[in-house]
Amino acid sequence: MDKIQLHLSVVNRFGVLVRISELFARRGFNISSLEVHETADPMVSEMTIVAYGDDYAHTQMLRQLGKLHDVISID
Amino acid sequence: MKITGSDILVETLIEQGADVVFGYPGGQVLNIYDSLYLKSDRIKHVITAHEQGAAHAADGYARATGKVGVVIATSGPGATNLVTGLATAMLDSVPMVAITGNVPCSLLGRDSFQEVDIVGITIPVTKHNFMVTKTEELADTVREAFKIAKSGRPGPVLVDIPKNVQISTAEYEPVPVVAPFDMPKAEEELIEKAAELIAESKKPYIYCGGGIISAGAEAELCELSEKIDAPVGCSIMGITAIPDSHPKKLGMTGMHGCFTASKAKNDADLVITLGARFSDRATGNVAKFCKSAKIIHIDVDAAELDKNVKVDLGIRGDVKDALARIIAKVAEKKNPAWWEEINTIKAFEKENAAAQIGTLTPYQVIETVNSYLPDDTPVATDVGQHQMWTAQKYCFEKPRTFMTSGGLGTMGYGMGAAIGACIATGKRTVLFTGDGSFGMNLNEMATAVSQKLPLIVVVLNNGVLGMVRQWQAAFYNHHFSETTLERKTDFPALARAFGASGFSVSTVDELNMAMKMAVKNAGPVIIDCAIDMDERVLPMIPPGGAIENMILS
Repeated sequence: MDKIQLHLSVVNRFGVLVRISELFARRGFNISSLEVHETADPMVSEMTIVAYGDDYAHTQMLRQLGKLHDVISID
Repeated sequence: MKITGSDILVETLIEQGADVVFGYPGGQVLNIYDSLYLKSDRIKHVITAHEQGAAHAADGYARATGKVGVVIATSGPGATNLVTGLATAMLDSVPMVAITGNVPCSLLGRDSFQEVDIVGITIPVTKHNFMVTKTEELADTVREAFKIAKSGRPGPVLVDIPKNVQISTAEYEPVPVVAPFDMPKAEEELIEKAAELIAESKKPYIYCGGGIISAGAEAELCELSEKIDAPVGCSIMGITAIPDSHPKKLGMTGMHGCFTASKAKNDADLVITLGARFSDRATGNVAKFCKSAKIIHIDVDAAELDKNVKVDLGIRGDVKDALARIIAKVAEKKNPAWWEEINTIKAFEKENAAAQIGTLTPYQVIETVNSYLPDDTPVATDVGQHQMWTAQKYCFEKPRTFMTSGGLGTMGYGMGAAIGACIATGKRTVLFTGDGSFGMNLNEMATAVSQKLPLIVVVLNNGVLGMVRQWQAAFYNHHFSETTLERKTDFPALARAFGASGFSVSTVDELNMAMKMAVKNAGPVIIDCAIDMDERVLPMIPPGGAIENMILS
């Protein structure tokens, strides 16, 4: 199990955190730590998620997050 | 000019091409229904018996036409009754927009009467959802919902509108129908790699799913199969992607798929997978899936690549565009030895086909009904044995003629879906259902009658929950726990009670007589077909099994 660190830019709107955490829960991925903060742009928040998993889990996290309408970018 | 939120909603629905919407009024959508009343010359609303039926009708409308289906429900129970319909559409990638009313913003979060967090509830079963809190944002949010629903891999989107947002006014300016987001295009390098693998292959096989139909790539699919002389198998969602009469089509693969289609897939040296997602029902044991083949997988949804089956070449992109480019790159080829092998499998399958047992067999029902209906007839099913028999035996010739819940397996889907497809196409529609499935949402007969729909409901009536019974017989020591219904439902009398016509048949001759009358009938007809409770769906690959475990008879 490798440590997976994901940095996301997301829309700063109510309910966005639920969509992201629900995705992890539904696919059976555990979030080890999570940090969210506002940016200079009031429309955008940044999020750092740490989770553990194999390559399969890592790829699925990236691709499933990429489908969320409120996720602007991931790196 | 400023108009009310409810007027903005209805104008935006019309603007975005919704000519028919399905729904059910209630306290928090009264304003929307008032706007629908005033604009009824431009948009038709169909009231169903239950919101679930309305959701499935919007789904059936979307599958039959490729357009976005629209359903409207009130807050609370109205909204929660949509959940099964949304999940059904989500699993089968059907474009839908669901509109729900909610309590005014000032009452949100107070457990008000008929208040429910439908946005929270439907996050996992929608592609996206919205709550609109300002009337100024309503039109653009609804447009965005349509755009998301029909873009890329389609799916359902819910828009929750509190009552005060419906009442307040804002400026409204009509805009043209929104275009979908640009489809991702496959990388050229991967297209070249695919063409190389096809050129090297001696035993190519095309496996297609519902993505071909969503992308409108039916012609490209046929062209590729002809150019590279490859057989075509499909998932249940891909059945109408290529006509059943096409010489390259082998049929459905998977748990209850045709033996030849499944065996050839197993024996191929290259499986070209197009717009399919390798569901467990389609693959069986993934460790033994297509062991001797290289697998190409083309899908618009990147998350599907390597999700269920690890593939040799995953290509993300619009399958229609990718196919056209592959066709242009590959040379024409013939695979006579491969086809000889396939024909041997076909002959083996024919010799070993399981016989059905009753006086009126399920296959006789499907084939007899089929013989009275033109190729463009919309065909809906519920879920269970009758669904598999229909998928196996009905001759599908045109895309978008098969409305079936493939992914979620929703018993009770059929009545709503058939109503939606019938209204969308204006064509006589048939629903194959079972006595179990039909019992779940037969209230929608009331809708079929009030809408005067030429709908033929064929009930394959075995008095049991046949698919579960089949599993209980095979894997649970014949413990028929709660699957023997012992109901005394008189279906022709039930039909009459709804204001429809009904027949009970137990022989092919009687079914012929009933069908002759049914195809002339202006309104809905129920044909109750008595079949044996021990009929099985065969062949069958047991769950987690592979081709060598297939039970033929």
